[in-house]
Amino acid sequence: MKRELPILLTVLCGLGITMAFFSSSAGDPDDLPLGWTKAVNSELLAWALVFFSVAFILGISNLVRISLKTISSRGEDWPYKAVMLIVLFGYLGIGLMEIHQQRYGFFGSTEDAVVGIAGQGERAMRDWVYFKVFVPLQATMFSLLAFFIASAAFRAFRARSLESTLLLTAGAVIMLGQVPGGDELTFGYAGRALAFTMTYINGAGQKAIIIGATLGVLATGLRIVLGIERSYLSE
Amino acid sequence: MIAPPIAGLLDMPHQSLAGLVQALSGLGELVGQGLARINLIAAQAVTQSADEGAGESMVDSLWAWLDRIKEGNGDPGAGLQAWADTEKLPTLISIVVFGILMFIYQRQAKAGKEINIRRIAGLDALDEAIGRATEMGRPVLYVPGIDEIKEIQTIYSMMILRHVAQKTAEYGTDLIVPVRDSVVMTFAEEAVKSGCMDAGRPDAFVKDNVRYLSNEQFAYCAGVAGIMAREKPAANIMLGMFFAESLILAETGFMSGAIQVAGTAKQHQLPFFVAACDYTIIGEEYFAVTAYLTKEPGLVGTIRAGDFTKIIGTALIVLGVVLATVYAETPGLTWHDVILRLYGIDK
Amino acid sequence: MASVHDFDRRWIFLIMGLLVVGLVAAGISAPMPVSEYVDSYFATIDKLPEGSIVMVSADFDPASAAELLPMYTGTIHHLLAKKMRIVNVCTWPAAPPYTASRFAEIAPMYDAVYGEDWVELGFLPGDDVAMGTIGQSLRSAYPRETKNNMAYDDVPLLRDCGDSMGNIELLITMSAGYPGILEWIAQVGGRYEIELLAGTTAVQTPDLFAFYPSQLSGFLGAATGATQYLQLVDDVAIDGSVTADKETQQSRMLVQTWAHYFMILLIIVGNVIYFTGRKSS
Repeated sequence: MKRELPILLTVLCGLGITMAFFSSSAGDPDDLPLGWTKAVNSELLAWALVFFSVAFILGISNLVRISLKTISSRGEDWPYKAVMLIVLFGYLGIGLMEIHQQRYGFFGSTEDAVVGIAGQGERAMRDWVYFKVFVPLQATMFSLLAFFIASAAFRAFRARSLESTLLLTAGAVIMLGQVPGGDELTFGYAGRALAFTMTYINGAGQKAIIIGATLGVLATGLRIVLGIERSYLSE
Repeated sequence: MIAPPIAGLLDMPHQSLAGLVQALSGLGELVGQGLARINLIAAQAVTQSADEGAGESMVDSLWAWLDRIKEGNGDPGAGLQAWADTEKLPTLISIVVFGILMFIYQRQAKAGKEINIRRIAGLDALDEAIGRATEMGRPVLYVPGIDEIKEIQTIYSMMILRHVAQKTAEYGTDLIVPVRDSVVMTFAEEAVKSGCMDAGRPDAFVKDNVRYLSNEQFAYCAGVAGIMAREKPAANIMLGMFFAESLILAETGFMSGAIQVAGTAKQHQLPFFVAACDYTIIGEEYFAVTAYLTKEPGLVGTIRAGDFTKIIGTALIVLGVVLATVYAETPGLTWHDVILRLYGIDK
Repeated sequence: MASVHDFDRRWIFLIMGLLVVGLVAAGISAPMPVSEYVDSYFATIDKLPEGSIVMVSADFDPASAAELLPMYTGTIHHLLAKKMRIVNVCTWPAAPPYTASRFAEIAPMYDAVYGEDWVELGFLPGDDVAMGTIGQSLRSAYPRETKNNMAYDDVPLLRDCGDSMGNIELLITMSAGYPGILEWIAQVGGRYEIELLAGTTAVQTPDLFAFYPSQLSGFLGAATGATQYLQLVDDVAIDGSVTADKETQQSRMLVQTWAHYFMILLIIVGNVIYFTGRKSS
């Protein structure tokens, strides 16, 4: 039963959502023979949203449990875990405090004034942490791409074979066509070549890959909905 | 549609392109003449059928019959339209056809019919990479992408992880699996454990080697890059759904000197993997991986059904291109006129 | 000749860094021609009648804000200047601070009233499931708006939206990855036949050519698309309010131009070293 129940649930939910997708939407669902599938679909989607939200709580509680265990046993990298917990609950606390202050008032503050160092505004402290800490950290990681692309270009784009020569030629043309200077430098031809390459050559290739990959997804989806594929149950 | 860009290319005044220009012009002219000929035939067919009035009524009666099925007696709750969204019927029919094909080929494969899957170089490289790591006495790093378990690529990645874990357990090599999602972590643990069991070495499973790093994309990316730099795995296997972190991971892996095998069906990350990794499993090859590795009849049959569907799809695309070309060029010509003419049904 | 593999790539990083920092500091800007896709994006918004309801989805985070935020800003200016009404949603948790700050700055310029001309529904977890729920019933996806926590039916703009997507004329997504454009196309655009526009990062742009113009009516690709679009929006926005943003983007394109030249130079140098090394060995 431990094994059959999840499979049965998957099959029922999968079939329910599939039926809702293909059933008629013309007119009032109450008058249509398969109108009930829309209601089932709606209910399942609402449940899925609840599960997603509960997953956040599960994730946080799991993280806290593991981190506290490491900190208490002075395990590897325990100071980092302590910092993580401080940041996690610190930011959560700021958010809750601001929402409470905004809706119900807090320490006699008005709607616009927020207790804290970050100035005025309904979400000033949250925004301060977000824009001064989170944004620079994430943007820095993303910016590393510029350097990695430069080094990959230097190393990987070699005219070793016909295919690699085509790859590097297309890369160079796209890079020139994409920027105003490059287009001018080639008297507008790079821009035209870019449009042609992207629309026809890239467009055709993309469609081919999408069709192939979608068939793979469809096959696995069908196998899961029909209960044939059970690897998601670690079988 | 295609004319302006080609004309643009033909504009190139460069002398060395003269030969190419001439060749393209000739080809263009030939295609143009061919299309004009088809248009002429089609236009004549329309005129002829309009004169005789026969083809028109046959098509009309076909449409009327289809309308009756769709609308029934005209009541709101009658006919096919009350049961199904008729706009989506082609999609439904395609899925059913695909499902039937899948069923047939699976039966054939299970009955012992040999279905060949062509060699996938990236997959053969998996064993090579694990072997190399064993020789060097360094671990294998397996990155299962950054998406959740509901993503089919992640599910497939877990299946391949099991195979990789089996191999590493056989060779006695460490396998490190950093994950981004807490649910995926449970699956990854199970996959590695099952792989070790398959190899007959349950003791090879090291729980601490399946590591949850962070749910934040770039924090996870930094964590994996850290593992590559500190623990210097000899083989990096990156299979699953990847986004902007793909090149950072692949380049860091290259710098650490590891042999790298990557695979994804996310087409916009493929160029990065192709540029920075030793072997790349591209697009739908990724979905053939488990069938290729396990030779399980059900999966092999699915691959064959996919191939057959692609042949049908390609034929339909070619037909569509012909129809669109002829139809667009001849005002007043309807698509069923063209079909009738093309297949010679027209009187 | 030394092998490429022996070369210390930190030199490349240093030159790339200096090039970018130097050109950003110089701040020179230049206009660029507008592509068909950007033109189509602009025209799709421009042709809508006054008062149309447009859903804008911010599906990005700080990592891609450099590319997507200028497009988002331009789009909000464009919509408010044309007197459209905006329903703003987010499927990425890190997006709401950006949308809140943009609206706080732009809405007063056009005297847009919260709840009537624009409404913020905030982040909804669940990725493509969230999108499916939005498509099926906006009311059940968002029983309350997020700024003032007002009930759905107490907000005039949401009342006009009704329960489903039927009254929404256009859906615009600023997408950095998953969930994003492809999920909006699958869950909402295709199912409910709503016209869709998208702004996206450079990496994702090639994917979109496969969907234009049938599933996507237009798109803005990367900084290039953002620059071209801001050039167009500058003519309709109030009192040159996007001129500064436009010039910043144009100067960034100059930086990008030189970064691309540097990359092409690297490819050429790399190939020369490769062939020379092969010949000598």
